[in-house]
Amino acid sequence: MTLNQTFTAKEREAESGLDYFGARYYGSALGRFTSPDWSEKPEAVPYANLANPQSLNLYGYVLNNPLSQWDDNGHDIFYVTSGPSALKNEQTVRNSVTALLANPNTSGYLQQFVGNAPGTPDLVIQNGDLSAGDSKTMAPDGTPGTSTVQGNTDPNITTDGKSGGPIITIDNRTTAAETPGVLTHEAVHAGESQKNPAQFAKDSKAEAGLAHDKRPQEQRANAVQKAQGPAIAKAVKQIEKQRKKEQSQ
Amino acid sequence: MKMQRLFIRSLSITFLLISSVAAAPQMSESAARERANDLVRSKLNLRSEQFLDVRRDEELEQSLALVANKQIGQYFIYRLSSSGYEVNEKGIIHHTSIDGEFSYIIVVNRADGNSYRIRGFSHSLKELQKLIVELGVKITSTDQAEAVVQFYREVNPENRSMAPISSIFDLKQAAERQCQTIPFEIGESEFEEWWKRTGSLFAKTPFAQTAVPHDGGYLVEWVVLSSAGAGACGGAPLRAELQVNEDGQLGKLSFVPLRRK
Repeated sequence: MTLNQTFTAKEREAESGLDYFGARYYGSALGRFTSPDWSEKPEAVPYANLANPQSLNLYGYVLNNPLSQWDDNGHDIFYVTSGPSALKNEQTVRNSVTALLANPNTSGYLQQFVGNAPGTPDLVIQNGDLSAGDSKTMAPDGTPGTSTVQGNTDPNITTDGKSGGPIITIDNRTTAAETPGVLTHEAVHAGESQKNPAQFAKDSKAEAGLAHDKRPQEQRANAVQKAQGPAIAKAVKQIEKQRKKEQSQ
Repeated sequence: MKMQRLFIRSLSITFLLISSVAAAPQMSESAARERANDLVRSKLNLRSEQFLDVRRDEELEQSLALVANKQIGQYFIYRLSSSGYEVNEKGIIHHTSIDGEFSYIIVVNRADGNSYRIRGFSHSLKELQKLIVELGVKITSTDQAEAVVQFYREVNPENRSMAPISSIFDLKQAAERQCQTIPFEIGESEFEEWWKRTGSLFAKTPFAQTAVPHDGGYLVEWVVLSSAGAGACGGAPLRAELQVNEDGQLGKLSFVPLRRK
């Protein structure tokens, strides 16, 4: 999937005719998060153990930070919500992004996509069929195994080393429970590709011949997933609980 | 005599007419390419403006011709991938997949337009078997059985690491690639350890692929390298066994540890 970084959100919408390109839908869907009810009642979230004082308050952190995912244009992170690539566990994905942005250990990966001027590269999160990437393995004793792909990132880098905005695809088989971990992993790829697209493209080429888990890009993403995945998953549950509580009020 | 000549001529014309009717219009290369493109796009839910790399693989077409023992040209084979270079008005965009290799192979019969999704789909192995049935293959030699296995490996419908290891040096190189890391120094020391343990064990073991008559068809065996073992950077050599039936159908692929000699 290719997105041209020079188009404004409006132009994208006009050209593609796809409702998910209208990030404003997303913005309105998130209205409950940015509504006064939400922002006026900040509550503590599970990052009390983290060094960043701001992280002690997820809502304050996200809403008071100029680099919020819900900027005025609302088109920095696209959630594909309709059509065949629509997210299967949309709310969990949204909650995961919220948790990743609020966690100081992971926020850097996604923060760079949000609050930017129109026309700058955006992040797209969608669902898809990644089964073609599955592989059958044989252990040294001949025992067969299968390795499945749960998520993938297309960094979408132009040959002159610029980012066109990465696309994260979550496999259709990935469950809601697995989603926070998968997104943590993919957020690392997306963030690294955005931070230094030219270097990322160079590394991808250099590492292409290596076994999947030997690639430094993968090892870094795996390390963050292992270290932060449980905290993100826990936060996602609490965000959901809070969201439901807000809805019922 | 004149009547006889007239009869022969009319018979010839009738034959030619029947032949021309029987020879249905062949599918063009561009139509076949479009068919392959559509099949993968629909699997991936790609819209028309989304990138998909489509390449005809003429070498694989030749491999298929060897399997069928027929002239090439009856089938078009395409490799498709969402990775590759897209050229548009904004420049050249490099699409890569960080977490896996997503590639697809579609075979299109130019005579009837039938297509076979022999890689990248959950039922690709079945589609490959179906294609072989349509070819009307009759395996009569070890060479032909090996050609079937070669085609199977090239297509790799289940995405396995099963490149044949044909010598102890091949094994060493394959393991070295498996152990390779960045920076290289780390992988190198792990590899040295692996080689110390494994190299001497299989120094005298024959690695060549074999094909022998078996159960009405042929049993083809070759050596592969397994996934890395626990605590090791390299795997273990395994003997892959694949039965090729007389009609070209493939049996179950199995792997057993390679016996050292």
